[in-house]
Amino acid sequence: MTGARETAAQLDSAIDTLLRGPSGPSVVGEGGLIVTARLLRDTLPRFHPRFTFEELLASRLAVARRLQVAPTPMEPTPIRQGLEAAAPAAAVEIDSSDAAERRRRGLVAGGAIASGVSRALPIAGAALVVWRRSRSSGGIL
Amino acid sequence: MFWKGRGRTEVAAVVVPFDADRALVEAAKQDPGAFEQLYRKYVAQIYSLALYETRDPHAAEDITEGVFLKALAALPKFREQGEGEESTFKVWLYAIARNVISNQRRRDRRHPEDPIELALHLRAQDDPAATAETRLEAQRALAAVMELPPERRQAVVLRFVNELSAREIGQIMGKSEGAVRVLIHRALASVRRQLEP
Repeated sequence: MTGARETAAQLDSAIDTLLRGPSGPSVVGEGGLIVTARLLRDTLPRFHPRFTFEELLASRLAVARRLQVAPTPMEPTPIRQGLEAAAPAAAVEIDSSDAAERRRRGLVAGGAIASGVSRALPIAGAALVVWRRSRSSGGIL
Repeated sequence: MFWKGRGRTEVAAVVVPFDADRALVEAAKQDPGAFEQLYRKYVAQIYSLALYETRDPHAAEDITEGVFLKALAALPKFREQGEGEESTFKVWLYAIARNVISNQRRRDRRHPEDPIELALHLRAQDDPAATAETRLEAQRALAAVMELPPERRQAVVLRFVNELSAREIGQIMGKSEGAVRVLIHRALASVRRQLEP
């Protein structure tokens, strides 16, 4: 194993531990990178689609299943176009029942990332973040 | 998650890895109605990846739709090859997502659109002081991640947002596990530099 790969493997092992732990273990080595990894673990938001979109796609999949022939993906009339016609505003719906959200990080429903993220991430949004203080058991999202 | 196998008495606690998706996939093959469980399990993960990749909620929805319709259509051909707790269905689904995202990008290049103003509104429910600090921290981290080259960004998102292993990410991205680890190491170094005052 080359030096770079060995270092990367050690870091990856530490990340594994970080991702498993509720508040972060006392991982040693790679100093600043561990701090950065912990920061990303704690702050990168997870996004959840609009509830209406999720339900409509579920319905569409159910129809496709019944037909046993899935319609061609990426058709010119995707679900969200119909949604926007019905509710054009930046409607945001929150799946606050997501008990699996495990740690203090953002969960953004119907979320969006600011286009100016490279500069300052202007906060002008319509999505809602639910911060969770602590990890609880459960799935990834 | 593990099953404890019923080993012979002299074999102590044989641990047989269990892939939670395997039963769902088999059920969905027998009864397409069971696909909904897989859909519910992964829809937010796929949407999240798509949103990080496109920065466009509309495009992310289109991609999510495309991924699950493709997965549903191709499910009869899917063969579980995974051993251990890592699901090859999950890897397979993410690989479809990556492919759909790539196609979307190509299409966007052919038909470039005006940049869409996107937004991120972070609102904390806890005490305001911590909120402001956390919000700023989150913004800076997110900005640094979004500035990464696409491959590094995707690896970081898959690792820290979707919490996939380096091995799974390698299978999705067509790289070795070691190459993914190096990719993430370099990505973190870049992010750290970005975050330095």
